[in-house]
Amino acid sequence: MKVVKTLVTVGITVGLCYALNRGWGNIPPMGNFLSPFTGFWTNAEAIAPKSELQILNIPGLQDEVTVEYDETGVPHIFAQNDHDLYLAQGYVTAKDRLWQMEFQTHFAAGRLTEIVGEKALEQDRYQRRMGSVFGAEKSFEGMMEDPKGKVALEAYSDGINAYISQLKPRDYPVEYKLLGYAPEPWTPIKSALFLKNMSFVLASGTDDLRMTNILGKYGKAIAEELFPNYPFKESPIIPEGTPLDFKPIPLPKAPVDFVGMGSNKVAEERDKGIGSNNWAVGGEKSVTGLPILSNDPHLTLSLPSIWYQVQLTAPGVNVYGSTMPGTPNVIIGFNNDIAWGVTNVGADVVDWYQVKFKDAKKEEYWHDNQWKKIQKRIETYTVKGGKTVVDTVLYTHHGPVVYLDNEKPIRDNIPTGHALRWIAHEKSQELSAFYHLNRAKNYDEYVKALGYYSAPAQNFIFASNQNDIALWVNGKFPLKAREQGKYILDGTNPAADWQGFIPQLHNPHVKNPKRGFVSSANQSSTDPKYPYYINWEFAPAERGRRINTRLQTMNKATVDSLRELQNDNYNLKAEDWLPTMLSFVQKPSQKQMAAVRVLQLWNKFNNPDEIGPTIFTVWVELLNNAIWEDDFGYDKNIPMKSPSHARTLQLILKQPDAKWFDDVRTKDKKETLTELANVTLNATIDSLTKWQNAPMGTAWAWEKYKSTDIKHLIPGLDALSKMDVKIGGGSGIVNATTGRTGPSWRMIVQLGKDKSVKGYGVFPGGQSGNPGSPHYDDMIETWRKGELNSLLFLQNKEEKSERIKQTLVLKKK
Amino acid sequence: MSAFSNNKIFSPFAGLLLALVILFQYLLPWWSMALASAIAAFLLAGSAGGAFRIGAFINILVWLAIAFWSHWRSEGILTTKIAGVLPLGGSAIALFVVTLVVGGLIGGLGALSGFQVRQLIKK
Repeated sequence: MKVVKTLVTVGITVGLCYALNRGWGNIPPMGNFLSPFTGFWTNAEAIAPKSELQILNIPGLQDEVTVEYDETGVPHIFAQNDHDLYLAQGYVTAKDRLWQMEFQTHFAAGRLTEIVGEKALEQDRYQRRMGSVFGAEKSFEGMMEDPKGKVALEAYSDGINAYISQLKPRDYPVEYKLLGYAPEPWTPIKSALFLKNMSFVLASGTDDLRMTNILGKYGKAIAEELFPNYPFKESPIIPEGTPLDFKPIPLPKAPVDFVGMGSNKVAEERDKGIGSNNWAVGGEKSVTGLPILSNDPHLTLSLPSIWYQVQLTAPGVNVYGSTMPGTPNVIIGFNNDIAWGVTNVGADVVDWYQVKFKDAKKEEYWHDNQWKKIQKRIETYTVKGGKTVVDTVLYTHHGPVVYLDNEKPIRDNIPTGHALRWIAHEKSQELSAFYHLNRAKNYDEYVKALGYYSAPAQNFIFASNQNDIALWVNGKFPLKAREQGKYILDGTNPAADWQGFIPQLHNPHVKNPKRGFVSSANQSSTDPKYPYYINWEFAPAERGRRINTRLQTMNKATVDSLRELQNDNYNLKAEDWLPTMLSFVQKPSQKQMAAVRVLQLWNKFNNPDEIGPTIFTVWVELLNNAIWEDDFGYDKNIPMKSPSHARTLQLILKQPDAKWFDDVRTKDKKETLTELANVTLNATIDSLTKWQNAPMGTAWAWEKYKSTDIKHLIPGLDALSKMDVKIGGGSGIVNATTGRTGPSWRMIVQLGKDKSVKGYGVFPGGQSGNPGSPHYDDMIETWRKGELNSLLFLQNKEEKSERIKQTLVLKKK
Repeated sequence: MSAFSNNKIFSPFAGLLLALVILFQYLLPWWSMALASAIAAFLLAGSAGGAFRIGAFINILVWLAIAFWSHWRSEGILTTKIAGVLPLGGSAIALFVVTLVVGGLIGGLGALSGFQVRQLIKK
């Protein structure tokens, strides 16, 4: 009896310990997680900092490094050589962002299954089949070829590992405890993986499949008419009339027209909020007589923040700015002489080639009139719990065949049975570009640094205290015939292959233009006179047009006037569209009256409390749908895209009787624009009423409709997110804050002579990735209000500042 | 029974338990609290009921003290967030209760196991 009783007690105790020591589905390992000795409790940071001076011994250092933390938690690193500088950068970045760095590189490497199990397999497979790891390996090779890049990469990695190796399980960031795993050692290739992932975020957009389906259905003439290669209203990045300072090389001969088979999988829209703004005004337009530069990259708003601020100081370098955890150097920033920033180009660097396999064995493919051998790459996935999955990916000389015909893609704009040619598969040296930019002192050194950069192509804006401003549309661009790659290409035809690259010095650029400013907002890089093909379609022109109009009239610009422009909520699209839309509602019905009145009175600013932007946004969307759905969205199995809003507006204004306005699904009736506008206005009112279960009023406020959320990287963790941030702006607005994307780092730099440069900046989050730190989200409110923090830029470690709150001395071990 | 009966809070059993659970949990994974409680009870517990009660009580006390210190010095910055991550409606109090129930249960059961094993061997 006693034996049984004892066995039962011991059994329950051990069983309970076991059950609480492991995760169950989404439930974390609760015993460890709740224990005040090891669990989340130990991640809560004291409001008052521990001590003002901390001394640590770090293996691998060559000399002593001093790190001063300011009141926002920005580390200012003072090292005595490059090696120690990057080692310290790795160390302090890991200290604040270890979980994020590892998670993001696991994502990039297609290794999420190791953390979250089988449910991530399709995502991982997609990542690897697109060739992300293949590309990172090649890119890493390139990075290691530059001796300076090699030192930086390896020291950065050593710094991260120095931090990881002294952690006890109780010190792990809280996300490890929540998901029940432990950090692994860092390797230098992870930095390459991270950078490749930026190509995924910024340079993997592809409409080739949709365009090919349109080509197949309507023919070339209509495809080109409705999807023109230059928009109807544009203000290109390189001002019209900028003379060429190079002799263009001839374009390759266009391959013969090819109508691909396309494929029949459902389409998905590209995220419209990803993009960026930057501009710089020259000395004659600024109050200081020297340039002022502004940049705000728009990315997915997330916690921990995608950016991390740092100051890096060593002999030969003193730079401040933002970087992405996982990569050494500063990516967007300034030093005593220059400032620079980036926006995405959106070049056509993703092309699909229809593959003709010899037979079902798929070991050979037809190209250049011969059968060529398929290369195979084995990808192995380790699934949480111990299982492994092996996958073979086929490669032609173009690149990976991402999905075979019998497979279903996770992203539905990916054609099956096609090989992918993508710039991200190229060997590259992005880190060297940033290494040299961080140290550049003038225009020539900036241009030299850009020569190292491949992808994702960026509009690099520049200003210096020698009173130069410039912008290079920069990256490695394939040398193609015009529109080559607008549609799916013939994989058997060698003339359809990429024929080399545009010489880097021929990339579009402008220095000190007459208008006194340079700017970019992802719109068309150049006007159609530029001698090479970069892409047929860029981001809509509204942001760029608005910025250029404002800068044109701006004189005696200050940091504050540029800050106001960053926060500009003016809806240029409403200015373009609304008068026409309202003209279709000459006699508003009882129901339409109030909405029409709101739109008439609206000042066209997307301010948080306005109702106008809500009604306008829904109406314009529904109207565009009503016009095009019957022509381009009629069959979910044949994904197509609708003509752009800009093209649609042009059609409305110039050809109001075009056949496209008729709904072909109603056989015995011919719809007119007036009807479509009225029907969709009613539908707008109905859907908004239904959405809030309330008639038009404050419930329809723009901020509620847009609902900006800054979410934790793990889906569903709203408690670690900042939900419903009250802020204006929107897609196509200079203040490009949408529901899930927005200005992820706002920076303004006022250049100055003799070390008098002044930087201002903020990002929607905080320096720390720890939800238990006061620095996790302490910049959000400043960001929301459109304010900027003055950035502390120290000249040397002896310089005193009241803003220094903590000092960390790293000594060699 | 003396004032230091091993069924009381102020007793050699409780004292040893306190020392062992702190030491074990500082050095070993969280579940070592069960082992520490079992060892203390094996050596000194006076009765099954006493083992469970004191085991639970001391472990709750230790966990409460550390959890509260963490909560207090961080002004609850993480407690409310985690109470939202777990289905506790963002209530810090509920999170404390769940934490202490787990701590108390494992500690009490561990101590009871230790006592019962000794009874078995003694016979």
